[in-house]
Amino acid sequence: MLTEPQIQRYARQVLLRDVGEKGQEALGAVRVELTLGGTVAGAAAAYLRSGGTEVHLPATPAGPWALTPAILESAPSAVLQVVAAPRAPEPAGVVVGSDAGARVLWSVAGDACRGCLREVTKGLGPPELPEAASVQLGSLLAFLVQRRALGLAAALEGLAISPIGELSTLATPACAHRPPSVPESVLAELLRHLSAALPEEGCAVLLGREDQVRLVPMENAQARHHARDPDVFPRSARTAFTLDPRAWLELLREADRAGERVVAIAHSHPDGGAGFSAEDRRWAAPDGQPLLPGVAHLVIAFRAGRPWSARWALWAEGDFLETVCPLPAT
Amino acid sequence: MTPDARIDITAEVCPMTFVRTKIALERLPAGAVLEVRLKGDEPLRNVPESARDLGHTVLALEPQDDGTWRLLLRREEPGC
Repeated sequence: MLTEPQIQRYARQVLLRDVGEKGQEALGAVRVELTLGGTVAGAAAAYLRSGGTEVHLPATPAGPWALTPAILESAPSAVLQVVAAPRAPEPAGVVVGSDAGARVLWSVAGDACRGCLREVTKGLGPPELPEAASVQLGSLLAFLVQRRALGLAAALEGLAISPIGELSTLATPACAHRPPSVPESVLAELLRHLSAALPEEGCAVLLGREDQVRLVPMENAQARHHARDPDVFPRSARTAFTLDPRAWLELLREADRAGERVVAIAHSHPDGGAGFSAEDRRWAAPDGQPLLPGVAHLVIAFRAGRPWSARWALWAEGDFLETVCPLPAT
Repeated sequence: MTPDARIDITAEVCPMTFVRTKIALERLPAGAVLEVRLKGDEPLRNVPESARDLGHTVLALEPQDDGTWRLLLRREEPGC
């Protein structure tokens, strides 16, 4: 609950339909890391601070707004980062950049798709800030931060100011970076297959048709390659996996006949290494381009013989993005 | 009707009349009834209207013998 001095100070904001007492508390529950400098940062900080939000300005000396008393007695729990393109806020905040003379702002939720974020901020340069436009940009920046703090913002929302100062909202693309949806029973089957391969890496392919996904267990051909030619294949099947080319071709033929497509390639890390390793990236995108566009990768890490972490890796604008894959209860 | 909470805004002026009312409504669960004591033309005009604008229901507005008014508001969900 707001205290009496806070009610007096923020009365005009409390009156707003989208703010109220809870909203005012939400504005006070975030701290904004404003890593921009200059007038834009000063303007944004003035709006935010007088609105009851704590602002940290590493690049600019604090102005008079820094004297506004903190709204909450406890330290703000959430941080919103304001960064200049090509950086991205980590995890939530606003990116400020420029694109062909227009100034562009993208507000990002902590759980926004990073692939979509990359897509919309691709090609954004650092913000060009003619002094005259800085106050407009700073106030919009504060507006986007407040919408985010109040829980009114979409996962990703963008605004652009044209070179002559016209404001427009930017379209958010349809997300094409979601991991495939795999039924628990198929995941459980995958875990059984990978467990059976321990202590070596196991691998499998997920084939899909419309909403149906099925598992095709594969043999890890690395053991045979390593035994035959350890110079070319120095790593054993404990730390690497290879799909047998003949089995892979057969699988593709079979999928083609059945009208299925390869949804994902799964493999295990018996040593507990979670996530898509540098080696995995080289395997999946040897020349910086994905070998199998549109195919997701799933890595299941084992510890002491039990699965403990699973992560999807999906290609998005030049790199693989990882997201957690919830494991079925065992 | 017995209200779930009461506030007296007879000593307040605009905009604090509705700030007090709005906060008191927000602190109540949906369906609860708030009694507001108010005095003067401005709150009499604005407080019921602003509450209605936020989606709350005006149940009653009755003059009292002492010259104040008794406003009964039901807290509705959209106004939160």
